[in-house]
Amino acid sequence: MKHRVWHLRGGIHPPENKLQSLGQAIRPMPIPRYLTLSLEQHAGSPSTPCISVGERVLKGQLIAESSGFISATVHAPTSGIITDIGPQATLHPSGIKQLCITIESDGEDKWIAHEGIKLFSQHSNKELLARIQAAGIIGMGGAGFPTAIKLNPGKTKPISTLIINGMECEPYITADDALMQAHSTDIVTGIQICAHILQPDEILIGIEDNKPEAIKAMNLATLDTGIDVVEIPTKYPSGGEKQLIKILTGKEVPTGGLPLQAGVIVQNIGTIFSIFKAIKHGEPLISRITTLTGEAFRKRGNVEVLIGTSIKDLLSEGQADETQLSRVIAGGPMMGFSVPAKTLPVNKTTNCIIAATESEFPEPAPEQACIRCGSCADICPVTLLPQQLYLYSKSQEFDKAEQHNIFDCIECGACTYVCPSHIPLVQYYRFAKGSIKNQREQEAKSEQARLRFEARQSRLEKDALEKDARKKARAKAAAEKSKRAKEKNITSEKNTQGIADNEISKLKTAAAVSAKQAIEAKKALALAEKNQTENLPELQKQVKLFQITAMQAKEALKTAQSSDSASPNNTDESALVTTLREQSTEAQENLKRIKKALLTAKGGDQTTISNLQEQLKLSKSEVNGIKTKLRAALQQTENNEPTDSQAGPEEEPPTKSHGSTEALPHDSELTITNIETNPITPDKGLS
Amino acid sequence: MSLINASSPHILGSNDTSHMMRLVLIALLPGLLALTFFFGWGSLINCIIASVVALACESLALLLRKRRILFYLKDNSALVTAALLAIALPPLAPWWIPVIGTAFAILVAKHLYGGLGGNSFNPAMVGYVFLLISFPVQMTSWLPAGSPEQLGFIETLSIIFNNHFDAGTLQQIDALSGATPLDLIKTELGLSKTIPMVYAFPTFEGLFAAKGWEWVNAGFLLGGIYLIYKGIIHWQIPLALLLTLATWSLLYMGYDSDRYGSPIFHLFSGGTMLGAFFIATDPVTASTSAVGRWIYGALIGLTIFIIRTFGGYPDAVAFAVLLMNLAVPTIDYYTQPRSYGHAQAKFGRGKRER
Repeated sequence: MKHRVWHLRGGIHPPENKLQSLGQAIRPMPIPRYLTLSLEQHAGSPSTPCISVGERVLKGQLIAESSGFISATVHAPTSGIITDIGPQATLHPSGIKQLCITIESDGEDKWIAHEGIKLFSQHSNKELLARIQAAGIIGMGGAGFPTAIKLNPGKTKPISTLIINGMECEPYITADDALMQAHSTDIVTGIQICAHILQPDEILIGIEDNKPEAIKAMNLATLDTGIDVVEIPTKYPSGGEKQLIKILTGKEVPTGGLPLQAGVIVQNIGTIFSIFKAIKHGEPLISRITTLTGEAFRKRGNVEVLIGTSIKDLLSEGQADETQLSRVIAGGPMMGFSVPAKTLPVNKTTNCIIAATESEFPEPAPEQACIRCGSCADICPVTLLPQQLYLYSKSQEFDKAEQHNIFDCIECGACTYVCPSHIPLVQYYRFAKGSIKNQREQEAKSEQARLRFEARQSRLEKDALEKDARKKARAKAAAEKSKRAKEKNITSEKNTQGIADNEISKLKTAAAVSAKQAIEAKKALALAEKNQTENLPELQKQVKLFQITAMQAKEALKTAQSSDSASPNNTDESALVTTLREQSTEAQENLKRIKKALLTAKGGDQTTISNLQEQLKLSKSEVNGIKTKLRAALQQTENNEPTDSQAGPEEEPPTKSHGSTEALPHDSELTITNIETNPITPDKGLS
Repeated sequence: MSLINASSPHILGSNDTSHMMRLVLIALLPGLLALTFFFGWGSLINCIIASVVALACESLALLLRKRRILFYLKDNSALVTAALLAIALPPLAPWWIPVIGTAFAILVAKHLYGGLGGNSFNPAMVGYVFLLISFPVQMTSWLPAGSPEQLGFIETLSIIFNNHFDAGTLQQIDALSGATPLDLIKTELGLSKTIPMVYAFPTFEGLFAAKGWEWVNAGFLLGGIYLIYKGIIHWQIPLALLLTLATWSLLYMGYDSDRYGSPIFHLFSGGTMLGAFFIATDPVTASTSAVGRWIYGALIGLTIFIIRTFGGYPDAVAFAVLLMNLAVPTIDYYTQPRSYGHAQAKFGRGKRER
């Protein structure tokens, strides 16, 4: 029965240019002198080196272990000496530096002891997966995702279809084609290993109909195996993972999701072959088939290349004409990237090296205006509106670009290929995607900072509240104590004098602290108002609480002091203190009034304000004068007790900035009355 | 030799904007030939005047905008605008009509909006409407089809450039100059005549519709089909437009055939085919999604019918296209296709996910 082939929307038919590299057997390459193996060539965390510089390694020896759940091992592709472990430029569009291990080969190519499995069906999944993992096998189609993890999807979603991707829809590349022709039975064994692990309902090999030889070979090798070879009309990009799933099953991988969610697992031909070698021969992934093609190569074809071989060695292997060479591409002409330097080493996912001449890949014509012809939308395999994405990317309207599903773009390049205005569309999308990702990272960072700030604020508030509660309790206790002391004072005045004074100083401290807290609370309130924070009422409540505490403390102080001054022994001084206090209160009242006037006068003419400010200054100095006198008098009364350092609220140093409502504790009431509907009665009996 | 560093894809197809524009110009030929056959040399001369003015204005605008003049001139878009406008003009319009119209189209409707790709309104139609409103007399003096075999090329030139007729020609022209079939129907219906009575006029002595006009429209239809075949324009807009126009005229004709023209009459009169295949399909100003194209085309068809039947102007293609140009951003906004992996298409902006 012929398997149904679903229609893939869009797509293009670029010149295939595959024949140049076909027709000859896969040829081995001479062992290069140096091999450089990136430890970050797979998806996931970098591998950790487990050898040291100068160490001698054998072919197939483990040189870097996987470092996490998603990671892969790296093995020595040949025997030799480790000459370097450190960051080096790697095969990447930007030639980014990654941690690499460099091996100088000794030319002996001596294998480490290794052993395969005869009958894989007699081994457990766990063991097979462990072997695949240990062999450092990753998806060789491009993404480089560790295969052992992909083959271990768990039991949550049953795998209905195992798809082997033999499409190779990119022009020029023939590595999988050559591999299928040369090793069809081994590939079938590899597929059977995967099927044994996954137990899928059906196994499909998708091959584009421009590879008749490969189809023939695979058909022959899959006879009576239950594996279905499906011939698929050639169209780019039918070989994209999501596209192939749609073509073979009619299902779509949900946006942002994995094929697993559609019950499908897709494996690349090269990966399957590596699995075969790992299980059957115990050989780790140390080489791959890479197509050498492009007009600058004189000797095109497919070579078995050791991972870590430099592009330079490949160019000389293909006898590239350096005078003609204009660009080197890793991968195909549609999605591959231009290699920034010839010294870079190939990695496990390098399926093709194109050495192109100027005439082969000419510089694109200059970009013209987009006329919204819609050619790009007609061929987009993901059914996007590339012309709109272009518009939004160019004008940096990234939210609209996202709304138009820019992250579903697979960057296949078909839109750029058909664009009559020669607009490098994919480049615009990459720019937009990158910018959006950056923006998101920034947002995440600032969000984190905000959370941190808020956590700190709430912690401080909590601390303040707790402190306040403790102070309150202490003040209460002190007040009661002083009351008792007062009662005692009546009976034995002289003895208790010292104790009472002590109490007073303690109370003063408490009052000062409370007042300070009230200021702080008020400040927080003002800040909160500015920021329009939601917990404004709560803050207001706290401020009120502080005020009440401050008032209570002051009240306690007052009672204590009045009782103190009432003692007959200190009549003279007490009289002085009382007068001074009265003066002080009066002056402060005055000050408050002026401040109020100043507040109301705000927005009025300048002379009034400056007048009032003058008055305010005067009154303040008056208050300060009185306070100083008061302090001196009190000091006398209190028999040189060291209370100065912990001055009460009334002795708060005069405002540093004139007219600032935050500087004096008394002003807190003023502010509060402005905010609250039920103003707290200002404690006029202060001091 | 250092390696070229370039972004993928490294190969490009052979599509080319200037080539697309060239094909549009080629596709206009059958209609233009029919116009010339039935109405004389005027349309061709208009085309030449408009093209020269268009290239001059385009160069001027590019110079002012500090763009590479030759590179952008070669995209042929100015020529397409010029040709579309010139074809829509009355063949014997004085020379300054195409000059003013084209200059306005290129300088104001195109380059003030940012040049090719930036304009929200079809430049040729902006130019046309500008002329129609400013110079209604010159813009509505058409000749009866098939009349001017006596007007030679030189005579036509002299009429266009000197705006002067020698006594004999003048009389002839006066006797001949008249309205288009759409004008005629509008006028005569206003004089309480019925459609069948108007059909008896010599203007309607055509094979299946109005004389001459049927072939002009057939010519543009042919050119349009060529463009669809070549993949230059999408088929949705013309089909939706023509279907809507035909359906509504059929409905109204069924309701009262004395007062409403037949679908064939509507489809093959005035600028219907030119509008459907060449004006409404201008990609820059048209809706860009597949569903959007259906809506856009249908709305233009409906507007054409409404203005022709109930409006003050005899023909309506220009107005209909401009009005719907206005609606394009909204249409596009609500007609995003369903992308791969999405359960359904996004309808409008939707809720922000974050």
